[in-house]
Amino acid sequence: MEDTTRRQLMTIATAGVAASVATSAGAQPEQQPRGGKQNPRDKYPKPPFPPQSQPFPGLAGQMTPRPDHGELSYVGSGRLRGRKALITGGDSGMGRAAAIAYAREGADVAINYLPAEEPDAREVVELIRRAGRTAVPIPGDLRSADFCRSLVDQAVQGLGGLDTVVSNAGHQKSNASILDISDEAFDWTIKTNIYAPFWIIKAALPHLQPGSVIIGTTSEQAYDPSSDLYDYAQTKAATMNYVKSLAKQLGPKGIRVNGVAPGPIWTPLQVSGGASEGKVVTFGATAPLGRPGQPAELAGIYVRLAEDDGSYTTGNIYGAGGGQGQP
Amino acid sequence: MSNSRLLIASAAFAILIGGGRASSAQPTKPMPTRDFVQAAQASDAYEIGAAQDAITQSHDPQVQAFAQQMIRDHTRTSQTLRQAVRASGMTPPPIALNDDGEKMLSALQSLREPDFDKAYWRQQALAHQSALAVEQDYASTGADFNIRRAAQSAVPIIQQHLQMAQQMQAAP
Repeated sequence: MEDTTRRQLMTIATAGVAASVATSAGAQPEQQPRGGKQNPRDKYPKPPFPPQSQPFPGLAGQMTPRPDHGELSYVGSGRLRGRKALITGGDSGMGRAAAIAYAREGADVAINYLPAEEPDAREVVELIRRAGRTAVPIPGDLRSADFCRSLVDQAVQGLGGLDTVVSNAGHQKSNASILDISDEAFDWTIKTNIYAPFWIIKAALPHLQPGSVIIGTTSEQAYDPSSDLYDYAQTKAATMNYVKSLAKQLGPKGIRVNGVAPGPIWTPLQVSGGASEGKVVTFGATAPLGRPGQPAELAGIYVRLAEDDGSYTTGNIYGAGGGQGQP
Repeated sequence: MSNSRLLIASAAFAILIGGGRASSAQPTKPMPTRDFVQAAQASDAYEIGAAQDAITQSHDPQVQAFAQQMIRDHTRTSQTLRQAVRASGMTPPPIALNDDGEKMLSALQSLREPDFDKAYWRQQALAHQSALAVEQDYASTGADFNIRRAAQSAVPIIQQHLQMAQQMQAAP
């Protein structure tokens, strides 16, 4: 679909969801999965992108072009029927793509996000409800152990249980030098990316029955870090690592633990400090597919790792890197 | 900043692109047309990507002016080459970075001032050195008439770029 048309349709579909998309409650713009094939190079916008920056944490709705989280394209088929999922960072990026996909696959979804991300989160809540599922928005900062425990409590209450934990929220700040990173800034990254998953998984575990899943968002940065992501990259290596240790620990309990490792994906993380301004303009240019990925292109991975059909996959990292990086 | 990584990548880039042949000795075999076209296009793609990064990332007016010129000139050389390829009845391959262009651009993307400008000039001097060697090689020994002419027209442009980049690299 030509980029301008797609952008217009997405703006209509998400900015004025209740009014503009003329379908009956619970129905989707497209009922049939698309199938077929397209040239992946041409599916989505290529660099150069307009120079842009937003104050942290940034909104997907304010990015140019808007990221595609699958609002118009994702069609479910009951793969997560009856499931109850908590997704951190569910307002934008891969978390949003997962939230939309999960709802369309039949799951009830709780999303956590920062209060400043409310405008994006409102759209996701609306999309979950239009799919006929329960949406539980739980704003709050993950850097507090108390909030993380409260988050899980509220999710369990709102969903009536919990069987899928997607630890996806991340803090990323690009710094050319380690000398530029203050104690507070380092703490911010470590608390969000390492401590919060620890607190959330601990709080969730008593509620997770056999067959439940935990999914962590790691990154190609875990395997080949960039010079300007000294703190962020090591947290992604930590995530990749905890997926594997927890999978061993929880295998006997029938709980699967997996990770998703994206390459460069077009999300607010990049325009709110995660990448230098020059990198934003050329984002994804280094990938063999010639462009960054869109969150919609990873939704299916989050579904796959959660669904019961994938029951032998645990301790594994699934990538989507556009041809660059590992795994 | 990954200085050594950058230098290694740059050196590898130079060798791969054919920098090793930029001596007065005759090459043992003329560069195949396909190889030349891919190498020249990869070079243009890197130049344009690096320039786009530089325009946004650098605060130095000289860097920005040079980068604007790189976009203009390398867009033009790329178009000229592709037209020549079509004129000879061939289909131009997709424009893509090669491995070393990818490494160089990736290294550049992680940099900020003041390291950015220094790295940009260093990369530009190296990249144009290699590109010049490639263009000169095909310009004198290349098999296809149209594409040889395209290479010949690119040589003075790249020579000018190289001179500017070397001057800026040498400046304190």
